[in-house]
Amino acid sequence: MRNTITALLIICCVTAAPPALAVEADGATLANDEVAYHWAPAQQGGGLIGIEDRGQPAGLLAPTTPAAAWWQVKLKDGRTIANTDLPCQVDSQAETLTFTWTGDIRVTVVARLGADERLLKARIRVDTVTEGAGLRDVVFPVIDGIRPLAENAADDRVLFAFRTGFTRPSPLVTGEPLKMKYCIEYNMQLAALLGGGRGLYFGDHDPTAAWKDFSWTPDADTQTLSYAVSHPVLDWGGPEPVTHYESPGDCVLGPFQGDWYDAARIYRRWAVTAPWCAKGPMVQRDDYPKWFLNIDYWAMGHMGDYLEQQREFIKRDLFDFPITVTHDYGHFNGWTIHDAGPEYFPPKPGSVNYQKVVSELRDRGARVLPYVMGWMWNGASEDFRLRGAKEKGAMLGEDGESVLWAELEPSEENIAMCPASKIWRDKLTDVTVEFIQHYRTGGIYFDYFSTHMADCFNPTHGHALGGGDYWARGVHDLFQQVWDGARKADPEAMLCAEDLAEFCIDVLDAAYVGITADAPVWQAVYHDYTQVFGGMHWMEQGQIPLSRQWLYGRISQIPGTLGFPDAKPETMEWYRDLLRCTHEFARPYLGYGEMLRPPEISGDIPMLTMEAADGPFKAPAVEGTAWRTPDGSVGIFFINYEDQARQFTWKTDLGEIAGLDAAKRLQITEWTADNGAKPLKQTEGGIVGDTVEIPPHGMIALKFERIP
Amino acid sequence: MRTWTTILLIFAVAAGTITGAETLKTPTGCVAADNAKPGPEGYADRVIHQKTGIELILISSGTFVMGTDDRQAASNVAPAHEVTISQPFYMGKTEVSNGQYRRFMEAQPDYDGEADVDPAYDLYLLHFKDKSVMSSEDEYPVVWVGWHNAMAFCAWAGLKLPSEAQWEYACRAGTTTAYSFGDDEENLHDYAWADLAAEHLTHPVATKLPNRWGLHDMHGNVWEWCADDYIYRYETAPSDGSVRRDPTAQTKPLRGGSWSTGPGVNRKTPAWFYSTAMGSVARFHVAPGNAWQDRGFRVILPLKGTTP
Repeated sequence: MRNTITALLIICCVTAAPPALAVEADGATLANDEVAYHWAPAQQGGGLIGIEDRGQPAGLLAPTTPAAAWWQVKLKDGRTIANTDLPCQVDSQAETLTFTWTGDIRVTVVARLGADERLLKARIRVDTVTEGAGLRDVVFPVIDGIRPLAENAADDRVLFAFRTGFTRPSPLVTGEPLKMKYCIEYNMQLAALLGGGRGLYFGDHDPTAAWKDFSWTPDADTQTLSYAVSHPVLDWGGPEPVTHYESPGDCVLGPFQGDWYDAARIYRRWAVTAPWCAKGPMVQRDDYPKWFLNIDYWAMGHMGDYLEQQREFIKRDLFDFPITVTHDYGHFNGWTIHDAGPEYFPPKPGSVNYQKVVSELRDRGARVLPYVMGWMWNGASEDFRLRGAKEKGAMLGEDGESVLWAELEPSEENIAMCPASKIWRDKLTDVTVEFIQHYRTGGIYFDYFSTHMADCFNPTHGHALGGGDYWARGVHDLFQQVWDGARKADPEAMLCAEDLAEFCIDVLDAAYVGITADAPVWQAVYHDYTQVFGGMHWMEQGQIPLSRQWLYGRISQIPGTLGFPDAKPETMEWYRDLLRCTHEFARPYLGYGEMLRPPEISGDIPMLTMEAADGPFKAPAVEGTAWRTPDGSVGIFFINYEDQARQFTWKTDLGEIAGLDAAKRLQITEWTADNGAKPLKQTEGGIVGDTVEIPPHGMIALKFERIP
Repeated sequence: MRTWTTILLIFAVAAGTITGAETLKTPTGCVAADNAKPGPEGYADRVIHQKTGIELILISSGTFVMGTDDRQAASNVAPAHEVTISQPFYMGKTEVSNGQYRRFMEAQPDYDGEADVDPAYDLYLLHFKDKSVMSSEDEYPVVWVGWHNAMAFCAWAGLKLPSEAQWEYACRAGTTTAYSFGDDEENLHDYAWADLAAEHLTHPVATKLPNRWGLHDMHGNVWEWCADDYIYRYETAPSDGSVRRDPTAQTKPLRGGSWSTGPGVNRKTPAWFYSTAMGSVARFHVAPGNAWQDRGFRVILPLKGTTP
């Protein structure tokens, strides 16, 4: 096998372009100058047995058996059929290999490798052959024997696209499998094993955002990992057996050099071509509310409970920053946040009072954003019962009968509603329009909406029963209807929802992301396509969370509408400086810029343990980020998290990250709290950097613009 | 209900001071209930308010600790503070029922109750118009009434809404526990129509056990409007239990919880939540015009000197 590959590679090098294809008795191969992918012989099931990165001494896979895995199909009758169970035939053509297995099912996998690509792209198609057989799940790819990447396996991490993204120890270290359910909590369709300065990328580039389960499983005996993605097929719960499935997008896998950021960039190259990015970056969209694009900060409020505070807020002109959102949890006419939804009228302080204070705030540049329960309807509410909402729109479990109750304190009355049902779409649209039209709220904040997924098996709703893209499409189209209603009521209205849902970027103006941890994949992929907010911080938590919130391009979000009344004056001044920098200088970068590779930082910088929602992580005491705007300028920002000055050296290649190579002349502008934005100097592009001292809790804000 | 009508006809003639061989004092417009006993200052401990048919229980004067400093409770029920109710008063044995409210409607046909609820929404007595699933039968508590509706009823009847202090004093009935029946949430459904046990509906008044002073449904069934303006917390609360006023307040307090609050079937919610939601100290507040499916009221009749 090895000899065959070598021979093929020699041929490739001579001809220099097309990838080498080989279908031999000992297996099939796709290879080019950079990488090679090997499959087991057809009689042994044709599973993927080798991934070679030419620059590395060892292959990335170490299959324990020649009968390697590649796919599994689970039938509705409970049977599971794998690629090793059926005879296989392999054909080659151009840059592709086509594998075909035939038995009770017929499975075709087409694998492609471009001449100058490192990543393999593959799709699977499954058809049942036996009459009456129905598909339940198609698991593809299934890859066994993944070796550790780092010299010390304990240093390997896996990328986890939950909230903004973070890394976790390899399951080989923890000994526990790792499962990620897209799109409930896992919000992007990628995974990666990272270690030793390189990675193994796995992406499911599915433009339908169908739901899928990613999994990593450790094998302690062989010290390898298995990776698999399971796809529940659309309508598997329907009365008729599902006889056909084919990948809606490419399964993408292969080695790369770099870290989480490089994995994110691979995903981004595809993601920005997905339907949800079709409208383009925020700043280029006519339908994106301009006021919201320029938001200064986000304050959490309870207007219904604290109207006096709102008046105080109006009088104080909080922080002197005019464009704010007051996120209102206090308008509920019912007893609590969750069990009143979405029966909010009249608002708690009465329609006249609420309308008045919302308008007063709006006239001062602060737009009220009422919280609306977006997934559940209080089953005890009059409207729910009088309209027969249970029958018309409640989600039913797999048995087709039981209503899904939300396990949500304090009430068990909340009934999960089907996003594809007309009654629920109309209800949320009506609530939205009433808030925006009658009360002039700036938009709506939807809770429990985009990613709190459960399949609905109510056959009267007219949607597929289970699997596929039912949920993503249902939610997207629901948002679309709400969006249309909101924009008709106020063309500047904005909508946002918990949590991140990439498939709704085109119908939401902001995404809830929580606290940024060690691998902000979301920002690296989508920061210029949707604004990110959430992960509110209190001053008692110290300055680190607020600093990171700012540095990683999230809307600054604070509790209450009066800022931090108990904070020390100097701390408040520090926070004001962060907001001022955003308002006067950094907004095009930290607000809606494309995230670039963070600058390299060296020096005597200690590592700190920080807290995120998903546990502690480590980060250096000085961090930097880099961003690009559509005008081509680059903003680079640094933060010192500690209360002592630090000297450090930073470096980045502007040519590589932003096309500002050494042939280009650049103007550097610096923003400081004392002087605002001032030209600093001119320089050439390409590799830039400096050795600087950053004061305690200090920030550095730089802009690099091409001089025409 | 019909039985009471008969009794009232009899007592209306007697103008209210004699039961059996014993002479009992009764307030103007009331007659002693047939099982009444002497209470403080010789007043009957139970009377029937003739105009409305409401049975009133005599609440003696006394001192109690209002609110709580329990950190698990809502912040608006602190600080705990001592209140002295210096004058006895009568309080409705039950929440005002649909039948009792109908008497007001029949007596005041020109009263435009719609004007006293939120102007933007159709809220007034929806259950009388088949726009609600709540019962409109006589023995059920009246709902879909705003604070001003309740005040209009009281003005017609010669009654008042209780102050928050009076309400909590009467609810506690001498107890210092989370509920008037103790701290054990397990007993809640013996005393209250709450949450799923109530099937998300109002229930006929006085069909659960009363508290120690004979008052029914102080927890659950419907939230009860109080006379005060809603003022967050008790730092400025008077020690005499009088009605609190704040000209800038935009909401009114409600007490006691309703059928919509309480332990559910899964019982995942911590006990403290329910005592916060419908216990003796629980406070809720909305605009006075916000009539709702689980909001009603209970009346009092001061003996003298109180000024709600």
